[in-house]
Amino acid sequence: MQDAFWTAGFPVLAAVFLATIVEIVEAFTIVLAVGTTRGWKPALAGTAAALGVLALVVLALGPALALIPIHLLQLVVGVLLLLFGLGWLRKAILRAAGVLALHDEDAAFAKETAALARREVSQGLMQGSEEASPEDAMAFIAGLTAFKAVLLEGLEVAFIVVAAGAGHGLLLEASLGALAATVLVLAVGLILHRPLSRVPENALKFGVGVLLVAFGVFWTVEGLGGEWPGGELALAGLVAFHLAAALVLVRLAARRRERSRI
Amino acid sequence: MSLLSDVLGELKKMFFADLGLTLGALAAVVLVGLGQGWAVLPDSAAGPVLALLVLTVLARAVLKR
Repeated sequence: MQDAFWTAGFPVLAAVFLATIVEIVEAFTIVLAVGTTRGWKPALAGTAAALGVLALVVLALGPALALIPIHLLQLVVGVLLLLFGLGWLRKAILRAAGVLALHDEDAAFAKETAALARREVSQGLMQGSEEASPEDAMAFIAGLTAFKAVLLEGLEVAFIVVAAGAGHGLLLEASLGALAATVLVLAVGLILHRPLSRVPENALKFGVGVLLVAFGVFWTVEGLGGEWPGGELALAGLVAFHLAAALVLVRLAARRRERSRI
Repeated sequence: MSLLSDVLGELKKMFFADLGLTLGALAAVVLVGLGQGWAVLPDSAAGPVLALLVLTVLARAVLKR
């Protein structure tokens, strides 16, 4: 039982925990912009509504997936994790090599604050033409902005929770990983009260990408009826293999970039 | 309507940000599946072969830029 947790449960929990940190940090930046510009009531209401929708998605999809035959489920979930993980890993490698710019939370915060201020001005110009007061309309727009940010960033988390958890009946571990990361980011964010720009987002994305690709390959092969030497221990080997390969790709991409600049 | 298109856009970004990468990974899975189905590829070799094919697809997607 203890061994099963360390070979399957813990990697799933860790992958979901790290992925959730990346996504919640991005969502938190927008919620913070909404909260500081338009007040915390619409920001928190929008956030709570989006978290409710995401929880419903996980609660509805998770048990529903359990009805699918295990090999078919592992194949579908494995392929989806593979595609999703490859997307994250590709972007993280290109960012680490300097080919793509790193995500900047301070810039995202400034952009969202400016966008909300612009909407406030245009709402003020429309004053009198709407039945609702401009204050109510702005509060609604602010709440909707927070709702959309949390929902869209959280969609990826919900997908990872369901996909990583459903394949081997680890939905509880996956949900705990997401919940722990959400609580951690919100607690740190509330204490600091500014965008969490020091979180090593690309390193996290790189690590999660490696884990998801490894899960994806592992479960796809199990779904196809293949066998892994060493059973679930092969997962650790896959993680090490993809991590080493991704680090080599960072070096190669960086060297190519340097050469193209000369 | 805008929310729905945003959600669909997010899903597209999740799985089809790089079409070559997505199609290449799917082709790798199909190839391994066919190899096993036709008994060309032993069950114990399916994993390492898929891992290598996936790495090739990823390397191409990264280095083509």
